[in-house]
Amino acid sequence: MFRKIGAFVFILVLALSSAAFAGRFNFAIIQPGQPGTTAEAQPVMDELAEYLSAKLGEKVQGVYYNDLNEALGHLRKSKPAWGITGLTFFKSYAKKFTMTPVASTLPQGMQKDVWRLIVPIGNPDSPLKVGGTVYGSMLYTPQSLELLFGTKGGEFAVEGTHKALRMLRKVNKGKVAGVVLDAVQYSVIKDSDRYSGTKVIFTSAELPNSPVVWFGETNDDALRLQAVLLDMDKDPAAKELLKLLQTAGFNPADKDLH
Amino acid sequence: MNIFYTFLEKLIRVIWKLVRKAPVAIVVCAVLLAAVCAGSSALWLKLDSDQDNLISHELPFQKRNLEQIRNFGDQEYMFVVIKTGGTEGGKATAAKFASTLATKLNKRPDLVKEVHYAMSARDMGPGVLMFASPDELRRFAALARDFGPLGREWFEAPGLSRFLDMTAGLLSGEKGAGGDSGMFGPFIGAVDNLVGEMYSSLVSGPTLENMNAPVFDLDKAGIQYFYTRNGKLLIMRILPKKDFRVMDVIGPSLNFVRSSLETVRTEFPGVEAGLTGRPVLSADEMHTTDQDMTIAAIISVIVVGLLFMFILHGWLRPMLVMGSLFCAMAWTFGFTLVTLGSLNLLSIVFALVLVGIGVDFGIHIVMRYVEAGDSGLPPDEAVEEALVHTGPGVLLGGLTSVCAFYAVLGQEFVGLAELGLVGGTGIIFCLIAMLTVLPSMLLIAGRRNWFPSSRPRMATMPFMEKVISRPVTVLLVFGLLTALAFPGFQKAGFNYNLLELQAKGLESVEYEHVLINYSDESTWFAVMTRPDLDSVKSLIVELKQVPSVGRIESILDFLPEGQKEKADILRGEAEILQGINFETRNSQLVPAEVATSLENLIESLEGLEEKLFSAGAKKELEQVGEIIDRADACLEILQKNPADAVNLTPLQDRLVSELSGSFAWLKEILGVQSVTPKDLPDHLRSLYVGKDGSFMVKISPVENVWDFEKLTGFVADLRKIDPNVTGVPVVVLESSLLMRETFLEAAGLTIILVSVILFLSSFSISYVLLTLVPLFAGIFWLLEIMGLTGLSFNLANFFAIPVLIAIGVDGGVHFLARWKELSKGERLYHTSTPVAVGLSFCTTMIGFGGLLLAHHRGLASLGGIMVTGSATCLVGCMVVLPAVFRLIERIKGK
Repeated sequence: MFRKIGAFVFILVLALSSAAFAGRFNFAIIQPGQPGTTAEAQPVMDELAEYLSAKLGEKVQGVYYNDLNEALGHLRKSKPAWGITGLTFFKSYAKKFTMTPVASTLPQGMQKDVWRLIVPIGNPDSPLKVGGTVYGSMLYTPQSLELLFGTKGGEFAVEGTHKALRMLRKVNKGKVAGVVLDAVQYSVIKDSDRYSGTKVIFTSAELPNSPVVWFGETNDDALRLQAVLLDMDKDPAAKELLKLLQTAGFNPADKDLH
Repeated sequence: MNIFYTFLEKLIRVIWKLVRKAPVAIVVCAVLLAAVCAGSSALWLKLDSDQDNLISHELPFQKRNLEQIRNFGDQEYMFVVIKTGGTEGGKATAAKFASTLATKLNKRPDLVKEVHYAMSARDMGPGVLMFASPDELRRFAALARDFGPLGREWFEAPGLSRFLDMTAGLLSGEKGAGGDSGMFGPFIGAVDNLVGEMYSSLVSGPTLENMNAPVFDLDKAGIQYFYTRNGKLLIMRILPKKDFRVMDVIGPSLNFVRSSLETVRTEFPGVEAGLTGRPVLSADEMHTTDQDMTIAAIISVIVVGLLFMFILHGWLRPMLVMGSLFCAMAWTFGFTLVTLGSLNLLSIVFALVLVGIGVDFGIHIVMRYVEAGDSGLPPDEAVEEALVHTGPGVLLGGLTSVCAFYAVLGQEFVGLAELGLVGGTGIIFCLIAMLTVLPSMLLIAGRRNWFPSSRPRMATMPFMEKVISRPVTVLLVFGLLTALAFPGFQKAGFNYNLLELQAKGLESVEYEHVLINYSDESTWFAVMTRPDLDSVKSLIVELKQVPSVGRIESILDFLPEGQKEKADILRGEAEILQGINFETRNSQLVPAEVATSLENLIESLEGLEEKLFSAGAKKELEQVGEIIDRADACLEILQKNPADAVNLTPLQDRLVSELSGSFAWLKEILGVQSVTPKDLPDHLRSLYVGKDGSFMVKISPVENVWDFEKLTGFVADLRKIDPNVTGVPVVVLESSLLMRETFLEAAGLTIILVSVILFLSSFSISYVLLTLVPLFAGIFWLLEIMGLTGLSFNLANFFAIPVLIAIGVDGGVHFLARWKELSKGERLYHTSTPVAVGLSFCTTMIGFGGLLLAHHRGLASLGGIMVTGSATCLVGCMVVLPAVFRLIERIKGK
């Protein structure tokens, strides 16, 4: 009888301890302003989760949000262990969600991001003279203007958009006051004749790329995750996954974020 | 004098009586017979240019070769070799090059039977999925599950508008099946194709050219090009139509392939490509030899003509000799028609043989006629003198030449045996013509005084008497020179490399070297057959252990492994398409619906653009941007004039038809549970499965088997595994050895027969030995010179040996006959015989000398050997033999 009870307790302890460790590395990728939907991105999240599960020896799950409110709702309801967030999101909510950068992404292999303010070619060259709303995939909180201009902010209204290209076209036709593009977006149009109706009137200082953040105080798990992420660019099995994640790999956390 | 020589003399006397009595009748009969022979040959004599018919079909290796060809069909391909540079870009351009060329070639099925340069999924037959790995198969099954509902939706009301809506749904992610980045390229490419076709249909209307063309070319999905293992070359295999009734078996096909290749080269100026393969090399060889022979013939006719006109004074005597020769040639054609019905690739050169040997008989008669005329005899007596005194020698020399050719009769090398029959009989006809027709014509012309009034100077060589006046010195000098050159004799050898016979700089030769040096491909492969798949497997295991074996191809390459596991993965997957009616149905095209669907598509494409923009995918973004521009243009046309939508109806029909076929195929391949040889498409099965159900294993060598030693090693290695191995390497090896053996046997037999004839005509061994002096001396010196100059025997110039034996003996016979005829105090070099013999050798040297200019290295070496051999035999005849005569005279105290 006692033997049976002992066995039951042992099983119970095992079950509880594994439950306590479930989701230790669950993540959320939060990129407000990026196009697409959470559902479309889920296969990529699953692939990343599968890769990390194999590397960390734990079951990992992940989710993607490109809508600010949905992302905030998710963070309030179920706190993931870590995430990859847009720079604006990090600047705006780092304190609120106790985000600690543990690594940084390398979109197109670039170490730093640069934002550019683009306006119709006939408009004034000064950011101070921009009249109307300026759109950008990263401009979904007022903090984004601080990131763009540093200490001196512009006077115009900003609005986040999932359709930066459409906004650029509108700028090209003179229908919108301006658009802000990040370095990756700008790389697509910089040599194109299609956008001859636009001009760059302001270029930001070098900015950190989207950081990998740990929610809460960093611990051994954060370091384990960091190690796996930093090694991904050397792992042939991660080659395709990195392409899907649109990064050449991961670097240690950008010092400018601290 | 013995009975045989007396018989020859009596025979000549009989001929002379006939000639004196009815010269006109003889000439008329000869010309009439020649006309009949020439006419009937032109009408009915065929050419058999099939190389396989050159060797007896009863020989075991040839039997196996022919059985293999009968069982598996002709697999002798031309190869277009396209250089890729080893880069991905280069490979893509090479693929486009191949595709463009294939399109051109496929337009002429009357000239090109097959073109292979890539294999699509559909080419692999319904069991194509079985070739994927289990993981790939699972992914495909998942994709098919995504597409299943889409197919069901599509076939409910198939049409252009529905397709555009579904595409828009897929692009926006509403309809699933997303996430696979590998599908992006093909999918966007398909949308691009469709919108492009819509635009051109709306702008220009449907065209005849693309009326039945596929919209997406789904048949080419998963295409794999035939790159070599190192990726540096793309190989196209082309099976030409063959016509063995003409000399250039693949001539029209080759010309067409070459002109198409040239056109495609201008379209792709940066791509290096060339044509090669065994049939191309053979055709090029035939072409260059033909050109070389023509040039040589023109040169020799002009030079020999001038020589004849100079020595025989005027044009009539040479014309009479040539007229007699042409009669003999026409009779030979007639004889060939009656006995063989066709000429083969070797016997076709008999005309050259007759010009080289037959004309010599005429020279002796005419020279003696001139000599007799010079001594003041009237025409009848001059002809009699010429015929009676020269005739027996001509007959004897002719018979020895006949022996040289008839010695190959009955040999397994049928091509050579037929050349022996036709050539030997042709020489008999030349003898008949020169002993009947030529004297008759000389008689007619002499009686009617047609020859020029000025008499020809009797050509003699009295200065040579001084040379041979010290015979011992002469013989010692030659003995010393022979001894000095002896190391050359030891070096003389045989070169079997057929590629080294070809002209330098030929594209086919250059690209054969490219294939040898830069790929694991070979235009030659050996063949083994096995009755069942298990023995094929064990054979391949054995072959893989052999170091000289390179690529091994068999039906097993097309029978996937792990079929059970894969069948389990696929089991039941076809059910997702169950109950769908795949039959093509044409639905009405409503302009407003198409316009709305286009708007949906544009919106989805714009959504995609945003994603690409954020990802920095510049190239893809440009591609999508172009599709949107074209879709916008289509929309504008439809909104401006909705009636133009009628131009899209044929496109819709093609789209519906193509997708019906593709979904039916998808269902078929999902339902396959195993792949056996019977399940493979015909074009694949016929390559490896014979008509009797046996399986072929193709074995390519790892080394360059044009090199005979490597070829011998390769075949020997294979024979250890299977003594019945066949294929081109075996046939080339065996036929080369057979050819060499046949020539050597024939040469030995000829010398024996000639010695016997000479003995029968004299019953004197010393006579036989004396007659053979020029031949033995000439051939020995020839071998020494060959060794010293690096010239070797090969499969093209070995033919020189019987001809040299014939002319070498002929010279000896005439010299000896005249020497015996000399009256007291008369000197050999004061007669016309040395000049006649010298002229005979000179015509041979000139005739074959033209070949020294040949581009074909085999022919050039034939020219080299014939000129050198004729020259050495000439020296043996003109200097050594008379010196021996003089020595004998001194010993006998004459």
